[in-house]
Amino acid sequence: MGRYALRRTLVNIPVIWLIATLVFFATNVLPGDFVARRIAQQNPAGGEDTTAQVAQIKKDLGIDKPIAERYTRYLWDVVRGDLGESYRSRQPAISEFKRGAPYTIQLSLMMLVVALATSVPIGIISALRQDSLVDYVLRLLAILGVAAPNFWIGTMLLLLVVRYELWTIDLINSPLLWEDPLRSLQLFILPAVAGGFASGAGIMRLTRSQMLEVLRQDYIRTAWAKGLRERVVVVRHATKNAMIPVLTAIGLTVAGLLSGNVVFEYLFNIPGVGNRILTAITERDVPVVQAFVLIIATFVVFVNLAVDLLYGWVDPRIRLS
Amino acid sequence: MRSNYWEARQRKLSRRRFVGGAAGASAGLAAFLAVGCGDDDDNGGDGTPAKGSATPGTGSPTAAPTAQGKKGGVLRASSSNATYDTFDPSRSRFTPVATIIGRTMQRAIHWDSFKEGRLAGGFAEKWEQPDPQTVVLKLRKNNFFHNKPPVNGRQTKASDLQFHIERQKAGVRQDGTEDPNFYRKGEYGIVDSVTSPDDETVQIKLKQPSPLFLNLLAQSYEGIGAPEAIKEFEKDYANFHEKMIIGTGPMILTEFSSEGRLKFQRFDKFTGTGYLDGIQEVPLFTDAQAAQAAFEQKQIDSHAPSNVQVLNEMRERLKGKISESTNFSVNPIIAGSYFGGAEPWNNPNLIGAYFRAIDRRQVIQQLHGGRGAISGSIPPSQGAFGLTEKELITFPGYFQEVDKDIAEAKKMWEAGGGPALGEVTLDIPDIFEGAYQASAILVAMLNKNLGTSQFKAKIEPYSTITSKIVQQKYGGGNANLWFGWDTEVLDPEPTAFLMSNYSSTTTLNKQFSVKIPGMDELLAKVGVELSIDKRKEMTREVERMLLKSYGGGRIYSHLQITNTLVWNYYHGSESAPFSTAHLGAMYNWIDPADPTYQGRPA
Repeated sequence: MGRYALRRTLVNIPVIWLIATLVFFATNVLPGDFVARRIAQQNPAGGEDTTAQVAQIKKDLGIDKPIAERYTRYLWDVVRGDLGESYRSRQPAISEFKRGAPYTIQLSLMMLVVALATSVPIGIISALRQDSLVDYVLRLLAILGVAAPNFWIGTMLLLLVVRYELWTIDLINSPLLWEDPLRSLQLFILPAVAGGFASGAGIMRLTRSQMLEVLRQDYIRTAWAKGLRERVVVVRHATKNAMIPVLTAIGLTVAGLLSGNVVFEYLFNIPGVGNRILTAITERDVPVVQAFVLIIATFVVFVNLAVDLLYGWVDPRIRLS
Repeated sequence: MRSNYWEARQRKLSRRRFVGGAAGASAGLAAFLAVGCGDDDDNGGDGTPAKGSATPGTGSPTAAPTAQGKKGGVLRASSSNATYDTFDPSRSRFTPVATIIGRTMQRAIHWDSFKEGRLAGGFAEKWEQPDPQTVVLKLRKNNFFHNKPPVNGRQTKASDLQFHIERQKAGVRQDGTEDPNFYRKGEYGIVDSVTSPDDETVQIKLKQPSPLFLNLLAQSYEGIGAPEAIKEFEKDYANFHEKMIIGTGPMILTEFSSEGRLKFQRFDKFTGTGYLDGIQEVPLFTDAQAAQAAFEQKQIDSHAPSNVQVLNEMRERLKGKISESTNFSVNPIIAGSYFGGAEPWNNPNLIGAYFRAIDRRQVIQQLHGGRGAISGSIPPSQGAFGLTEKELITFPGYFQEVDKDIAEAKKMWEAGGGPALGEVTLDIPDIFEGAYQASAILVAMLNKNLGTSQFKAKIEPYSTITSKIVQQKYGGGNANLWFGWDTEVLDPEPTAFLMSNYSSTTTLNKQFSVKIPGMDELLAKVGVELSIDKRKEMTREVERMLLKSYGGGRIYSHLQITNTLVWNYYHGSESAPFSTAHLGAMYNWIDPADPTYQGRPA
């Protein structure tokens, strides 16, 4: 297991280098760079010759060097853990990420809780009561969760709470759980439900199909024949085995959630990673885009590794092979 | 029919100007900050703006709010734009910075009312112009800087103001580096010398008589800081921090984050009016629904819906609880600028055809859902100096009977040899296209109105467009034009702008090079005319001449309009398309006794 983990980690290094390179060149060839936008915002088509101003701003930002030199410098800085400085705020890009991360982590965890709390039990119940009314209703809900755009669900929830004055959603301070639990929940519960429901719908369907497959296995029939109680058969024998592919889906969901809930952060004015990267892209704040993409990509790569390792741990057959 | 913009505001904008009058639009580049918006109480104005603002010997009127405010409360608002270029007022041109400056710093003098064109004392309490080339400023007594190091709340001195002017005139950093980002260096070039005969007096000698120097001192970015703070922070001004903003204005900046979360606290030693305990600015709402929700839950006190259906629905549902103000955006939208010194745009038939084929009302309708006002060469936001709408619609390109303009445009295009030009490129700035998806609309309109299929759109960054303007490449052998936001209107008076753009003696005019007989002579006269009433007459004449010459190099289209809703408990100061943050910081107030205040979160 240890050697496997080490080998996979080493393989991930060129992957991350490739991502860093792609991000560097992609952000440097985007039309309308930061300086152009800045000049345009200051004086759109004022007719002044802005050559000197452009040169001064580029010099101040350290982007007056050739692209090859900047690329080499960028890679060296990444190796040293320096992800650059935001053009916009002049703060280290990593600190921008750190500021946004708590919001994204909280939102993602809450979404995950909602997703798992609804999808796994519903998936199991649906499988156990296959083709019953309960099954149809739950499957319908799952299809709704997959089909309805999650931003629409989020918007509807927001409007519902505001229009019927159900509670005050703190949209201007975005308090975190450890800062003000009640106000934080009042805000985050809406995107958590909307996002969690959507993410959970897929997991629910997978859980159901896996459970159906496992429930038809010989060893389950044997368990029933032995006279084991339903709870023991379902929980100990069926669910545990059905969860193996579900685990992969959950892992990918976690990676997706933590890599930035752009839509919900945007919709609920939450200053998380997704919202910040969106602003950075709009503003052509290249170092922030590069840093965020690199961190997120690295995270996703290692979540995948963790899922694979977990997979092996849960299913000894895989570990042995 | 109204005679100027301010009257129009009193009458909620006339039908023709406010074409369609009801549809949505985003604020676009117009950096309209909700905090700076007033309510709709514009009844104080008499519609006769700009009385004697620059007349020699004028004293400073006493600043006075229009209603009796109550002290207390923290105003909360969202910024529509949270990008900052530098915390050095003398090197900034970003509206959010002008907002910070307006709240925290005093200018030597400031606009106390844009509506009435009234200047008032700021850092300097009084001023006089003993002769046309001398301006004497008398400093306000007992005026103190905010208590932040290294200034530590000391009293102001004449040398502070002297340093402010000399630094901008030189355009040089403390380390001796010449910095092109001292944007107003050119305007300060008129200053011959600045002296401080005593600690309360600054005397400025001008190289030539200028009625506009006081306007320069009153511009949005002219906040005065202490020399010791500038020396300490100059090299770090781009690393935005609240400690760097040290002024003498009504508010102290206590918290700043570059995503737009700012806190201001009342400066108790401020010598003028001030009601609010503070102002809290929150980052721009990324989603319109969230902004609306925050407004409806009274977490922010004002809101400008971008969608007209939403606006109408809110107007109806919250009737009696909210008031509304309408405002022009700061950036006029122009149908392009062109080089008239060579083919093809030196041909009056061709450029005239384009000028008349722009159906300004249709553009307003399609780009902004009707929320806009047609603009002559002087935008309606500077209406006191421009033509009345009644007169504007008598000029080609602005006829109410659009068909007449279009029929003439077609004839002129044919007569000028337009079809032989081949493809005509219309450059659209990328950020403009992003905001309005204008290219398809404009190209379809031009091709239809000129009976051709020659027009094609090209999306370009502003830097490319600016570069082409400077290099005389809109025209000058190229069949191309552009359409987008023009530069921000900073001053309620257009005189300086007209002089720099349309006098053939200026460098800027080289990019247009449209010969207009009599224009140089008229601009030379207006540039030294000390009577503002006479200047208004002259600038109107300039506009007439420009319109007859198809814009004289710049083809104006319109100004966008924004509607801002505020709860009744919030009493705003005057709203204007210029930076009004200084007025808001002094005169905005909150009335806890108003029934709508109930339910406002602490």
